[in-house]
Amino acid sequence: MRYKEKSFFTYQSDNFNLSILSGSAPTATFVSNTQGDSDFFWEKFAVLALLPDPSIIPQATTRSGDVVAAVNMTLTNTTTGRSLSNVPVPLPNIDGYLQFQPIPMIWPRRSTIEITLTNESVFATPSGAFAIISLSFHGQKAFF
Amino acid sequence: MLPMKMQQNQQMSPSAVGAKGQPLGQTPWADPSLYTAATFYVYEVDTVNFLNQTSVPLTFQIAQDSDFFWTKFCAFALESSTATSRSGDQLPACTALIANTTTGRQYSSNPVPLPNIAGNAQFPFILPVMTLWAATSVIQITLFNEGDIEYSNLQLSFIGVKAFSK
Repeated sequence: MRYKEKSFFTYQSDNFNLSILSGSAPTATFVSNTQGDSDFFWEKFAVLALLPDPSIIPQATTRSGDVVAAVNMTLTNTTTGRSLSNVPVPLPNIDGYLQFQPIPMIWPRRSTIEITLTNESVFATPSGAFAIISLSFHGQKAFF
Repeated sequence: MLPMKMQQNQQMSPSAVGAKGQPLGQTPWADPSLYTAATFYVYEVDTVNFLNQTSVPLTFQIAQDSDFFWTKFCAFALESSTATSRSGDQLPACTALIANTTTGRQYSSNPVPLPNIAGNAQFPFILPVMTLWAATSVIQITLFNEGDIEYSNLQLSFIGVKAFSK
């Protein structure tokens, strides 16, 4: 057996006050590393997007008022060169915490994950499109 | 002994059960060498008057007579103690950092927004892999209200199976 133990785990990427309006800066790129003690099997994906209130604090919402982020995502494991998709994928088409992916995507330990978000909507808020976009990568940590 | 290719497939798809939508297909609590009985159980931890832009630590302890297999997670919030409807259900703009302080294991790299990790009874968040919390484990949840409203009630339900040790 390659792994001695497995555990539920979430790699979390929070991106505050993104000025990814469709004007001057529609794109933002983030990089994170998987931990050195374990491989990660990415199985579920959830996204929370909150708009800013007048004080630029994330605006709480209800289930029916849940923001559907019109944002495209490119995800690449730059260590292995493997990408999630051939072209950027809309977040609403792949997020949702109830669904398991067809098969897990493996992020070996010490991989660098690069995520690029591109906004394709226009917001009238002065501080940027979103107060926060939280990306939650749920899966299993497999320890050596 | 399984053929090598089959072994590799098993390693590459540890959540094959989950991929079929049945992560509960495994039943370790049914092992008679470890447990005498098992029952559905919910560990509930609540907070009240949770101000915006503040944090609160919550803890609870797993009962001494049993291990707990955590399989689902739900969160429920009220604003001003006002009853709500299904569509008007609050999406708590709060993050949670969950850790088993007995083993030292933390379940995320950073705090996770509750709407991304907790559902409701009709559509609960089903964990990719069930998580064992051994008897007497202390579970700590650090909540942060990142939104712009106060929640009069915030209630977290850790749903799973209580397995009574031999």
